[in-house]
Amino acid sequence: MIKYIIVRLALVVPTVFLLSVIVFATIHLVPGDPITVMFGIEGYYPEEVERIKKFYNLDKPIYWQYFVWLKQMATLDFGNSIVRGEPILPLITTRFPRTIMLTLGSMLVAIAFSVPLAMMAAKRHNTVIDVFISGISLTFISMPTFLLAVLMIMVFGVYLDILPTTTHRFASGSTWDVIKGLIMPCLSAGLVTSAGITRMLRTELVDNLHKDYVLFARTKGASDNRALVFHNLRNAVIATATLVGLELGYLMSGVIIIEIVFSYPGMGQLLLDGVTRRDYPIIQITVLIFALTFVVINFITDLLYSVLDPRIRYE
Amino acid sequence: MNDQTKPALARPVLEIQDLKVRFRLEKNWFDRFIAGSNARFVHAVDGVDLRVRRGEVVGLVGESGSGKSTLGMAIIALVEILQGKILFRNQDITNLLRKDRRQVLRHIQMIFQNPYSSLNPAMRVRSIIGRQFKISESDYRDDTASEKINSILRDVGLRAEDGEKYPHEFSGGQKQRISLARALATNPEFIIADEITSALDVSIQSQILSLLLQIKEKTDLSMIYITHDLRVARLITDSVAVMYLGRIVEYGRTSAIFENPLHPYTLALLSAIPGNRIKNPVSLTGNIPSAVLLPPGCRLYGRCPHRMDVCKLKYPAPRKVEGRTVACHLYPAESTDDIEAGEPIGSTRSAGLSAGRVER
Amino acid sequence: MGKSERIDAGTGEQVLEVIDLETRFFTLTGVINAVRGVTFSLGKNEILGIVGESGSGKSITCLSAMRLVPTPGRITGGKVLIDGQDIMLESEEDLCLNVRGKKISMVFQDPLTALNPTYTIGWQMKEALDLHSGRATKMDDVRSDLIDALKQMNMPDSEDLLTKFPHQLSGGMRQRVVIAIALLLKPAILIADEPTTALDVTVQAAVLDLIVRLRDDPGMSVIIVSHDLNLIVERCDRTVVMYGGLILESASSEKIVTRPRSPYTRALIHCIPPLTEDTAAFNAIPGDAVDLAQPPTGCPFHPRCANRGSGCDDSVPDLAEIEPGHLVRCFYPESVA
Ligand SMILES: Nc1ncnc2c1ncn2[C@@H]1O[C@H](COP(=O)(O)OP(=O)(O)OP(=O)(O)O)[C@@H](O)[C@H]1O
Ligand SMILES: Nc1ncnc2c1ncn2[C@@H]1O[C@H](COP(=O)(O)OP(=O)(O)OP(=O)(O)O)[C@@H](O)[C@H]1O
Ligand code: SF4
Ligand code: SF4
Ligand SMILES: [Mg+2]
Ligand SMILES: [Mg+2]
Repeated sequence: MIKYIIVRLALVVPTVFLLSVIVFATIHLVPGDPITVMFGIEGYYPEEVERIKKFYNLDKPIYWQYFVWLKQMATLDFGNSIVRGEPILPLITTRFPRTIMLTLGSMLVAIAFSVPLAMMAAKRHNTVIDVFISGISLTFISMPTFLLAVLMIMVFGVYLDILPTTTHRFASGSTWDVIKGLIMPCLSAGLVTSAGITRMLRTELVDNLHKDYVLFARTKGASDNRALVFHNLRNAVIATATLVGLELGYLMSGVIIIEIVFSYPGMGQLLLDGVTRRDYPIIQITVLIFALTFVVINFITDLLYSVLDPRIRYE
Repeated sequence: MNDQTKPALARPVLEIQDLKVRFRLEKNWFDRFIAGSNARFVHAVDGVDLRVRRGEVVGLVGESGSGKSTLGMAIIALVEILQGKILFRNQDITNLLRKDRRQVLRHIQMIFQNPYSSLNPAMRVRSIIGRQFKISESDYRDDTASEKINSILRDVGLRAEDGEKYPHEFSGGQKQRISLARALATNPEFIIADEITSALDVSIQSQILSLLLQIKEKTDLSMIYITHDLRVARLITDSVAVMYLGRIVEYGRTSAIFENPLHPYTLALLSAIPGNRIKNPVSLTGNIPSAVLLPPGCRLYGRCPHRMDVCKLKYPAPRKVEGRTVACHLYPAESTDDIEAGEPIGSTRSAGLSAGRVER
Repeated sequence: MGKSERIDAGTGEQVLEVIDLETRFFTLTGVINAVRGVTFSLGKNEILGIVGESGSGKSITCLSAMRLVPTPGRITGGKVLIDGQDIMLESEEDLCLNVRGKKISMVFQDPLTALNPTYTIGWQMKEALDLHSGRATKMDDVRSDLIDALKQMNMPDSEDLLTKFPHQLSGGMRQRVVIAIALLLKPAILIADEPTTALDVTVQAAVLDLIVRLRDDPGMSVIIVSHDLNLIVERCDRTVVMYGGLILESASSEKIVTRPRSPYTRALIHCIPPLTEDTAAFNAIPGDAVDLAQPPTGCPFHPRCANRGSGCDDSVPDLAEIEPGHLVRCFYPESVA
């Protein structure tokens, strides 16, 4: 187990390295003058250009620039936003937790819906209930996140008017406001994800239903619910864990859209801001953070996987 | 089946010399580090010599957990070999490079016990067999392959139309025929069959075995046949190797071993066949020793009704007795292996343990 | 060996009675009649053998007796009486709490799949205890009991086994663990579905000896399912021969081998490889196994039967008692000679 963690951690290092190189390269190796790329304005005076180059270390060799940049990233010295002119770090520290909150909230919704539904469908497989659940999940799978979000806004926000349609008052609101604001974004991102998980989990559960070990547990006197939870679910979850990890990645991308639809002040908004205003340092950092989060999530999924499945744990 | 071996075909196709395979108990390096020099191993195969001649069927029988499957898997490089050599057609295949080994191994096929899990449920039978052609033939062509697949299906007693079906549409016996067809597709010279009929009922087992024998007669196939069913071993093998805890304790012609077993374990094995009445049955008492902490002397010592003092201390080196190899101190050692250490050999007998006639 | 002289076996008190049991599978492609009206009983401390070819409904009969038929299967008729109580009428909770595992337990055919790959051997053994005491015990309290149970099975390194996972054991070792679990609660009835297929003959003999011993000592009734007729006959007091979801013959084991009356039983005996002859004579029953989705009309064995006569393909013969204690379902039974 310990070996596994260490090896897996050791694998994270090159991944992160590669990531940082790619993110760095997108700015520094794209054809054209980095200054033009970064500032998007042509026609500086040569001295001005030299000054900016010096300021941003652009006159040094590229690998040197990279290491300086890496050091800055590692020490959380993110510099200033070009457009806003304010330091980036506080922006990140307030927004990143919000995005995490949204992602985890959506995941919670996804799991809270998918596990019971999948179990219900599996227990009554090939009945009306099963077909009904399958039908619903299929509908949600094929629905784009933003469409669901817009539909929800129309129903709950406009027609029923019980939930806030935007969350831009986030910073000032009370806890209750925050929670109310989170409900729709989490639901719209989570439901789509839960549909995928439900289908996969249900298939796994049904496959396992007739495994001898489930039946053997029943002959020992386990009730069908106990057998389902202890003997079936665990094995089905192993097969589904990889999917959940991947889904979490997709969720993050879905979250960007959700943030935009609900004007949720998170990392997605920040990224959108950066892109529309060509604020390269912001883009660089948000992309890097999204990528890192993805790596960490994968790492955790893998660990979870090996905790759940002893056959892997001992490899 | 026949006692006389055709002299022209008598040279060994496969020769195993002093093969050892072991599994670590401490599976991760942390535990290994903690264990240090106290690391523990399961000695699954612990010094096995075996020869299979062309056209010969060698049966591998013995205790469950004695390393029969492991031995088979070692031949086709599915487990790591600790020590020893495997010669296939006089070529050492133990240390081949991956590419060369692939070349050699397509002449050797292993068929596993469970027909349910070894066939890919999502592929049609035709593709399952066709894949083998693709793997084994460099000049693979779809049009000629189709004809070959049909002929192989017919060889194993299935119809050409059956190729379009999926594995789950077949009964257990038919699935085992498909496994057989898949193994035969590479036109192997050597087959390792690991308990291929133990999950099948007698009637279907008979069908599979007669099929296997027909194919053998036709193509001069050599085989290692691993089984728990001694009745089957009796009928389809030419010679039998009896394994106990990682070693072969008796090895010789099938008829000789069944009529006059020499090693006490062989006798116990024959006594335990349901429906077999033996004059002096031996039933083993006591616990099977652990394959981790192997006893230094004879591995049957704790359970053997004929045990002597030497047995506890010295491992009985295999010796030739009545035309076969037996590893037991009851029989005189031909070499001085045992005596060197100054151990007197206990009473030696050359007669068998009077197994008596074996009847149905 | 294990078989004692008990002529009265099966005539005394009945612990299990299966009456006209019918089990069907409602699959998408049609209905499979796996068990088509099976009646037999198991006496106190009796060992009953069930033989028959693959797919003849042996396992499904056993699972039905515990009311554990996997979906899409359903018991569509008949009764199962355990200690005189019809379990078809009992509630599911009652069955879990008081019947399964306690009164009746079962060993599965395939040792590679009967244990859950994600739990240790110890956990899975302890589960059986916990389910019936109704509370979670501490591993330390029961460890020695569990190790004893494994030692009974003649397992090497019993002490280390509790913390191992199934994939770390050989096939034979796993099967013995399964048997140990089934025997843990000392059930009154043990159903062993091909308990020793994965074991070599000496271990097989030891396991069967143990089962026979348990029959006598704490007292247990046993059903052994196998397609090894020799094994059944050697260990069981009485033998039931199944074919195509029906019982074709039932008699004392002695009679089944020495004087089989059903043509199918005789054909089955004929398939057993002999140990003496040196010829590669493999006898197989000609023809294909029964297709239970469309069972042949009349006697299920008629397409393959050597004795077939007029009427065999018309109606199913009754299971008739042609001698005391010897039941045969056949229009033209073998002669006694
Ligand atoms: N992957 C493994 N890791 C650790 N031990 C193993 C592994 N595979 C096999 N063993 C051990 O090696 C020994 C030999 O196993 P093997 O499967 O070869 O036995 P076998 O003779 O085929 O037995 P059986 O008749 O029960 O199939 C056993 O003690 C087994 O527990
Ligand atoms: N889950 C299932 N769905 C559909 N049919 C099934 C299912 N399980 C069993 N059957 C059918 O029921 C019949 C009886 O099966 P059963 O497992 O009782 O046979 P068996 O006598 O135990 O055979 P074996 O010796 O191969 O174990 C078979 O024809 C099988 O096809
Ligand atoms: S060497 Fe000794 S203990 Fe071993 S089998 Fe022979 S007599 Fe028995
Ligand atoms: S009833 Fe007819 S077909 Fe059936 S077993 Fe008897 S003789 Fe054969
Ligand atoms: Mg094996
Ligand atoms: Mg069965």
